[in-house]
Amino acid sequence: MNSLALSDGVLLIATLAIIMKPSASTGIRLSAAVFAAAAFLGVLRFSTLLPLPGMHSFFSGLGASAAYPLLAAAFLWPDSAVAQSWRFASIFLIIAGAFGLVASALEFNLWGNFLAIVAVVALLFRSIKDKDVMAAMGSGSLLAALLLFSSQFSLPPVLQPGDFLHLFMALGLTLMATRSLRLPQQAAALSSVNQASLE
Amino acid sequence: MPEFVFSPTIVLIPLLICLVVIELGVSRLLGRSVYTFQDSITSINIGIMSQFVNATGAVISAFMYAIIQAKYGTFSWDLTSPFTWIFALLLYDFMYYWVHRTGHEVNMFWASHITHHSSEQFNLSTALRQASTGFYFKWVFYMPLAILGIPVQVFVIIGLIDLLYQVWVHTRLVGRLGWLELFLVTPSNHRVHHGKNDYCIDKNYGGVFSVWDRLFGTYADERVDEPVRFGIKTPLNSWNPVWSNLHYWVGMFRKAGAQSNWRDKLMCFFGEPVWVPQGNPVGDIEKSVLTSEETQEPDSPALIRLSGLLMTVVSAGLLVLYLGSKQQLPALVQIFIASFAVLAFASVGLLWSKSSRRGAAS
Repeated sequence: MNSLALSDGVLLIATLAIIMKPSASTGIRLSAAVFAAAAFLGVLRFSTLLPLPGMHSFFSGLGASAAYPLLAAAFLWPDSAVAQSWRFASIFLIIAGAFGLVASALEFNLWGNFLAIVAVVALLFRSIKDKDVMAAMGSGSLLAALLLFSSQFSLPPVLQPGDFLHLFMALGLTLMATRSLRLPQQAAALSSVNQASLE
Repeated sequence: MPEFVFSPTIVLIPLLICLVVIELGVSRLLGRSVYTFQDSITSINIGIMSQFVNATGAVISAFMYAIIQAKYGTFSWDLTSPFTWIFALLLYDFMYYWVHRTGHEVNMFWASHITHHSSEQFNLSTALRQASTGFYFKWVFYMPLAILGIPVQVFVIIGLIDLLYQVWVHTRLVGRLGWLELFLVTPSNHRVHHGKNDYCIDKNYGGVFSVWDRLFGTYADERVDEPVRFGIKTPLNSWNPVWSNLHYWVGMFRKAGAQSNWRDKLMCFFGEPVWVPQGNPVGDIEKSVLTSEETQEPDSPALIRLSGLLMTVVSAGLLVLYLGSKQQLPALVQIFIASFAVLAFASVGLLWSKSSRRGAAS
């Protein structure tokens, strides 16, 4: 059991807590589910219980190119269909994932990193603008996770670059999910979207 | 001169057309009218045109699949093991269910798939009426197979098997099939899928297995007391293969352009086909969906019908030649040939539609 398995375990617990939190919006829970899948595969991979590196890379890529933008969209527009409805959040994830796959096939590997950074910076600006300390700390933590990982920062022999990514992500997502409770007017928006879908 | 190379599609084209002729003959023998000339010729022409276009589209799908499989493919699969093939078929069919369901329930994907449903007849020629624009989104749904590492040749063969299975279920000559109805897609439950009766809408999406529909609550049995009326709520009213592929796109963009806010504009593309903006006038598409019970125009004059048949025979021959030699042609030449085919179909379709209108008016 190495540090990456443990820090991925921390991320897995944080994301599972968000998924099971009924007050978090649908878009945020779905993006957390993608991160949770990546973290679960990371635990399997780094603990050498069942190493599936290809699948872990895929879900990590999906997290960067689709789950981060979904998280940002759900946070920036909390009453939007993407934030409130499974249907539209899934469509968003599939389309963003498709673009990510095309970029990956074309070896345009910066695509996922670029989208993740843009999404997190947008979250940070919005939080600062709204003077929302909790959200600002959360998005700041997410930004730190990405920047530290990109710079391959490490504290040998205790923490590797991936550990900083996992731990700061876990902290950031938890703070963001605490902030993004479903407000009464958002619940009303959700019911109107669902009603429109049914009709 | 490029060398002619045989591929499964080349063998299938004449085979499928032969099946249509056989069904026509059997229906005549049984004294049942399941074909109308112009509708069937249009279906075959739409199918031929889609092959010209999708010859490139399918390559893109296989290319994406191969790259993702090579990059992320997790497991190795034994091609000689029946388990590999059975598992791949089940997973492919499961993903097909979701491709197909999305194709019906998300407007911008329905804009492609509607072509297949635009016939008001239901026979083997309807199976050939395939969209030329669907390849742009379908591939992404099959990526779970690639990530599991299922080899591209298994994916292509299973895809072909799944597709071919779906040909024979487009018939009115076969009734209910007893216990097979419980888990297989059959002509009976697929007739429901092509119906525009209220009970048929958004039902029976399965490709080979109907268990997915039963599992996700989208299954409906054919009703004896309510015969299925085939087609779409808004009749296409055109024999033009190009227009059959584009008409819904045009309507969707017009509808989106008429909306005053971004949320409604996006809903025009990503909402369900029956979505109506709140507080805004009902768009053209919805108006027809809500009210239309019309059927398509009567047949055209004999000369026009003959020209359509001639177009079918000539284009089928050219398609076989094209598919047999396209691998040796430069990409630009392939695009030029596909574009020329689309233009030729558009011209003949226009001629046909004008003539039909004149015939109907007189």
